[in-house]
Amino acid sequence: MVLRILILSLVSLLAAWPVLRSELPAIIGPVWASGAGERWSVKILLPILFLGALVCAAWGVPVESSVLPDFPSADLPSLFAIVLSTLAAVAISALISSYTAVPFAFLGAVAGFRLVTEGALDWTLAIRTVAAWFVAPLLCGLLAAGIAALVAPRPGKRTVHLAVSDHRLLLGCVLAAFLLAGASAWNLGSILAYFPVASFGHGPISAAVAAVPALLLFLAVHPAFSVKTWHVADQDLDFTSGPLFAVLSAMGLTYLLFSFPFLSRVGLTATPLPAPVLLLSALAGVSLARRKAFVEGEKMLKSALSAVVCPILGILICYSVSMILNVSPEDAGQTGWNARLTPTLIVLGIIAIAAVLALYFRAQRRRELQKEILLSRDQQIYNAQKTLSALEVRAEMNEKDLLNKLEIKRKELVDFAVGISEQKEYMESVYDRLSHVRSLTDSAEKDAATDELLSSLRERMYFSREMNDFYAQSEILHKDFNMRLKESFPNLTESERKLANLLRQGFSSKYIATLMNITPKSVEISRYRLRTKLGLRRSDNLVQFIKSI
Amino acid sequence: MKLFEIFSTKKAFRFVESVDKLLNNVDTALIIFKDGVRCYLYNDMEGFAENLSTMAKLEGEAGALRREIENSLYSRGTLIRYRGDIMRLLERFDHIFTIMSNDLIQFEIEAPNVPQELKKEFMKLADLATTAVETSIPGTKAYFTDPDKVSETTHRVYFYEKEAVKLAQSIKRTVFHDMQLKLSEKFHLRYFALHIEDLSTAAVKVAEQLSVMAIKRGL
Repeated sequence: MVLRILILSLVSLLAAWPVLRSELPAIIGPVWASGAGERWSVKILLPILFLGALVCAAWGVPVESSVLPDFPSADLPSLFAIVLSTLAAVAISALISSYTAVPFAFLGAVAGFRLVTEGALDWTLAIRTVAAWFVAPLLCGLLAAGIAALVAPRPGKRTVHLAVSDHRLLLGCVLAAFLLAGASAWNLGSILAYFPVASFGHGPISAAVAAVPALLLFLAVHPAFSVKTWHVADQDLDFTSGPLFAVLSAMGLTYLLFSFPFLSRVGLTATPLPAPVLLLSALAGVSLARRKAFVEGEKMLKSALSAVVCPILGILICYSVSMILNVSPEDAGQTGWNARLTPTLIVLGIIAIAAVLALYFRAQRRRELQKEILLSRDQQIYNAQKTLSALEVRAEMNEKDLLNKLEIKRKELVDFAVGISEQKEYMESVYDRLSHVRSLTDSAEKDAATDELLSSLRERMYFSREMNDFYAQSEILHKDFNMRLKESFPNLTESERKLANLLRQGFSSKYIATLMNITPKSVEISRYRLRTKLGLRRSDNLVQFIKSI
Repeated sequence: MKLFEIFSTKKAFRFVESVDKLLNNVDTALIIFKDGVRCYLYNDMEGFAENLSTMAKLEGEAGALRREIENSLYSRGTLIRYRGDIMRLLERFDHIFTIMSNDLIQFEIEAPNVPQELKKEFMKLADLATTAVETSIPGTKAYFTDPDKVSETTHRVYFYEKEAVKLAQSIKRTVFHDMQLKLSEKFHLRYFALHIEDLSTAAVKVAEQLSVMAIKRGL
């Protein structure tokens, strides 16, 4: 008994889940978007109407469509296999589009089950059903287009105030919402007619066992359901009342039309319809009428693909599950669930393993993702640290450079002071020596002393010590350049390196001649030699090249 | 009964009435503002005081109407897809009321010394600024009845605003370049020219809002 209740609860949960995730938001979303949901009348009456129609369809009126097998009472394992296959098919097709088709998956699963139990399908009925699946969205789109064109303001028509026209449309939306709620509950409730919970032998208790988990599930997923519904209302249906009225009416009318058996007269059949597919079809119809895109083409295509995939997956999965459960035509409906306990447990075990594996892979993927994030963060930190250390190095080099410059300036100052005192001493000595020359009476001695003085002055004019100091300082100041020059062109002589240094500092040939104690002509020759050694062409600029080293 | 009030159009018509009343109030306030400026410039202080009190009364009435409209929009679930835009539009009109009322009060408190040769210019500026707002009123009415006609009025608002800006600049140029006034007086006049000019800027904001709303109505 406990196992029976548990399985019934499980079936109920599995069946309610895709409906809550996919079907209901597509029905309630347009109602909320139109503003009809804000009315007290709608808030109270709509759920009553929906549940009432659902109950009537489930228990009151038998569905004529015989594409569904007539489940014998107490055949819980069969029901379990079908619901499980539906859920799996919906879960897979939801990967293509969230606007999927739960009723199609269910009917597909039923067809798969029937293939196993009866070995064949009623192909006429199957074709009629598939035709109805194609016709229903088309009809919904055409109805929506017609209604949208009808309520669109026409130029030249008597103008009505926005408040009045919107009020009329709101009234229309409220009525259309009632129509949609009633018709969709009636249509989708036909699926419930094949959940014979009341015939399990305990009547209301079984019904309660089935209804309570579904209700609990609804309460548990209510926040997520609200978010999904608001997403539909706010993102997909963010437009004015006219198109919304068209969507609501078209969906309601399509549900109504496909809930009655008279469709068989036109070669179709009454069948449960998916709300998301109808919603997108209605939006496409409104887009056609208003010549504006109310829905993205890609979304439409994905939804259509998902709707096509759903029943195929349902058939395949249910067929496989039924084979595992060893459902044979003789067994179907005659063997109690006790006889199938072992295969049921096997299926449950497979599902549990699949679920655990899926969870494991999901967790692993998440871990990998986190690892990647961590790695990228580490990389970012590393890059930041690298930049920081580069900045530190640069700061240190700048500091060193500044210290060097300071040292040079200090030395310059000292040299300047020393130079002044040296110059003074030298001038004094020149003065003394000239006085001495003047005091000499012998002309030969006078000439000799004058020659000595002149040679001393000439020697002084060569600036040998100052020049050495200058080069030494220049060496320190342009240490990096000299190093690079030596590395790049090791065959340069000392005087060529000096010339390069002076050219880099922007001295003209005339100054260089003075500084190097050579003639300007020699400077030109040295420049030519330097150009040759640096491998420059005639068009290349020597100074620019040296500066670029 | 609350359940069946959806079938009643009484509230929709009351909303229409409130909006029309509010727009009429704006229209009246513009006339009062223009007259108030004229009274001040030509030393009719009695008339000015009367205009000031009428303006305060109109502002109060407009505030009450705005709240009533807000209440009907949000608590009764009418115009669900338009209410945010409509409220923004009404707030812009409320801002226009505030500008007009503040301007008249500032004229009264600060009593700026307007030289004789500038009085005509100031009057013309007030005329242009109020015309810009006036032009936006038919546009607003058109939004509710025939949104295609909104664009016909908005370009006129832009035109009057441009003219008002040009005139305000000319007044400021005259004040600062050609007139022998104290710097404080020059600042004072510039300040008032700027405030009257603000009215036309507010009208442009209404026109911009209307343009967006008209596009949205087509969706």
